[in-house]
Amino acid sequence: MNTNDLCHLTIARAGELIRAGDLSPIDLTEAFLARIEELNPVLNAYVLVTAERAREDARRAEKEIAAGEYRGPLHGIPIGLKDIYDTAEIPTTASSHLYAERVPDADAETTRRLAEAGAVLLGKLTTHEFAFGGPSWDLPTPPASNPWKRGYFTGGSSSGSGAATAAGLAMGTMGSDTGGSIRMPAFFCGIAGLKPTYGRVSRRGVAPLSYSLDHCGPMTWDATDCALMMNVLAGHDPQDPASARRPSEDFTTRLDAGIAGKRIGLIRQFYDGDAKADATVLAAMEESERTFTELGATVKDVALSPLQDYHACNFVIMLAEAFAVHRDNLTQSPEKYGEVFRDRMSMACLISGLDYVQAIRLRRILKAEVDDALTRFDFLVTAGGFMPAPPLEEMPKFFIYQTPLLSSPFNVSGHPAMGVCNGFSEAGLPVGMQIVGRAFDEAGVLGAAVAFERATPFRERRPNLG
Amino acid sequence: MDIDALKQRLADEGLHPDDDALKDMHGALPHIEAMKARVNRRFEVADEPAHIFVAEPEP
Repeated sequence: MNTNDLCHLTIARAGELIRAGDLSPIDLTEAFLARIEELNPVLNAYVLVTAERAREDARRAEKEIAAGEYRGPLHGIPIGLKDIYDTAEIPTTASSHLYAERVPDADAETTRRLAEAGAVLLGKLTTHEFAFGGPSWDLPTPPASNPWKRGYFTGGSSSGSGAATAAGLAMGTMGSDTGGSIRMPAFFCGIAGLKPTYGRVSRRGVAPLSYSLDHCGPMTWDATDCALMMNVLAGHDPQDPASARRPSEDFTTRLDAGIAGKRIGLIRQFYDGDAKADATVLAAMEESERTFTELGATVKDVALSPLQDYHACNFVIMLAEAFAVHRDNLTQSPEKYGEVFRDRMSMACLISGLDYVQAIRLRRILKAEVDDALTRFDFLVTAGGFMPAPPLEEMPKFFIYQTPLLSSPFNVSGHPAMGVCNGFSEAGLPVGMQIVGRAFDEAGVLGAAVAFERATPFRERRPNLG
Repeated sequence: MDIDALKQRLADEGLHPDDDALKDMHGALPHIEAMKARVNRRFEVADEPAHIFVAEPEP
């Protein structure tokens, strides 16, 4: 296999080859490092490539596997981390001048789990500043660019994670999601991204944006690979106050179950009512509805509160909590933040204590509404975004306040929500949808996503990076 | 809220944006006000917040 072929293997396939002794983790890692060297200057997916660490990880993996000490499907698999995930003795900057010199002493819990599983760390990935301010050109590194069309938005804030996964610069990446920051890059970059149930994956050691809304999760080429990463990532962390006290499980058990007989609630109003998606998204959603029906599921419309209610609830809570995190630095060292972060976050001072409490009262009502819908349906489905990726230069500073995010309802409700590619525009830019499940039913969501991916041709198409 | 009131409100918090930034923020103000209006609705007394304090010791 040449470099291109190696870097486009899925985690599942590469893991099989590594386990069988037919693929060397060292060769695989070298292929990724070569591809990053070639493509990162135009895609800006990585803020830091940890080549020596990667080679060391790969050598260790090869030696262990040869000695019969195989750790599992991530052993020897090259991955990247959004640069808000702490890495011991490796800079973790949150793409901010404020953290330019920051080198953590300890790994984030998720970083530790991935290392323990034998994954190979390729480096740290571009993020919007502190997972909030971007795209922005006055940060230490430029914004990531969309592999499907250079100079176009990747979505954010896990922008480098989306670009790297789509471009074959990592087999799996970690993102974080407070209002959609895993699912939006998955949508714009044509990959799979899972925002797990709130509390399912530890947030410890990941720079907080909003304590009660932050979710950590995997971003991969397909849903099967997300399941493999979840098997490593999920589980109770007693040092994360929000960590759910429940054991992990095998997230691959329902990947082949199909969705025949399942009931799907289509939240059409979010993208064709409360706000209007463009023709590409509407056509992709219509086709997806047909696909689910052909797979034996029943699809019926379900009505929820207006998307704008969820979005308002999401952002009032997010701004209040994020301002508590950043106020001191914002007032004492404003010049160390980029303009986009600084101006967006400064407006958080307008959120009062009353606003915050009313928002978390509303949150309980909205969460109950989603729970209720999920007593009548096995899954909820809605669009992932309103249009394919726009040019980076056309992103307004305050776009996240102007337009409600289709992803925000499930940060408010905490339910697992998965971004899945469901089509392409005439210009070749991907679009996607969300599959949402009951709390802690990630296995079901992943199974539904796999069934959809297998029934559609979208996983066969890769960006042309010639 | 006019732009001078916004400037004062920010200054009260120790934030001093330049004129261009202030103008941009004032342009975005209606979106923030709209979000605040949506969450400030008539609740029942029994409508408790989603986040509840738990007295049990953390493990």
